[in-house]
Amino acid sequence: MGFSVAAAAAILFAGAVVSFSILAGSIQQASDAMREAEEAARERALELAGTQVSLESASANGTVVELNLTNSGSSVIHIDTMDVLVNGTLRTANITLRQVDGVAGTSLWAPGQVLRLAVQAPEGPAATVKLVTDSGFSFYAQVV
Amino acid sequence: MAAQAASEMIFFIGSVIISAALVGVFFVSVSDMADSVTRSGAESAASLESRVTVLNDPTNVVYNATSEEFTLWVKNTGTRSLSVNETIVLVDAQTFTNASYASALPPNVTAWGPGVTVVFTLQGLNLTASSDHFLKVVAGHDASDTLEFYW
Repeated sequence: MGFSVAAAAAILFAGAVVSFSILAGSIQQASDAMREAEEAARERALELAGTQVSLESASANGTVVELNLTNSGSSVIHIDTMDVLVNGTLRTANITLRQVDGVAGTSLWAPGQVLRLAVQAPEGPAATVKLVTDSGFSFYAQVV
Repeated sequence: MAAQAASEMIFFIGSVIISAALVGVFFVSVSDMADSVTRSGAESAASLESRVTVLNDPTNVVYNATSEEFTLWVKNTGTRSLSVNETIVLVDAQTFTNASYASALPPNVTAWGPGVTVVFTLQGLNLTASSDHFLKVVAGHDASDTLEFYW
């Protein structure tokens, strides 16, 4: 009788240990995934909070809208994934010039640098330009 | 003596079978629980990594009242690729699924990855003129954004 109880207890104990290790493994995996995602979300929120753009000058001649903008925040903006709307219409595909401090080959717009942006759009003065960065930051500029 | 040994053997076998069965049931339940924890963690992580932003300018929406077509641009501002066809758009009291909108990725782009903007053309949208409107985009992993505009 005593041996039977011991054998049953040993089987139950072994089962409990294996089950606990399986459960602990998946809790660890889920918690790692959550921690990484939270870290990435926090970084994105910081990037968004540190994004600021100011308009230096703007012009529109009915064919091309030109903007000179300064990155006045603390985040680097990726200009190759930045979208531009002119008077409510997406014109990203019509961008003809992206120059950061006179350099056209870069996609990085660092804090303090000036971006010269030219967009082909049949809009005259009093056009509204909206920029949206890949972090979701929006900036409105009125071309007068 | 032999009878006692036989009964002890029966007790032993019985206890092993019952405890093994209990462990089996317990193991199945724990495995289900572990799968559920892993799945729930992955879904929560996906939800945190997914975000969309409506690009439309609320002061200049692109709506053609004659053809009842509304042009909507939605940018993936998260860190995970999303499925265009799973996106649902709600405008006032109307719902648009992939059967009632046309969608297009930029040229040479095959997936709605981070930083990519998709153009949705909502068909059959009858907006009441001179009133406020509410639009909500719900993409995969519960990523959503809203737009309120006057038209």
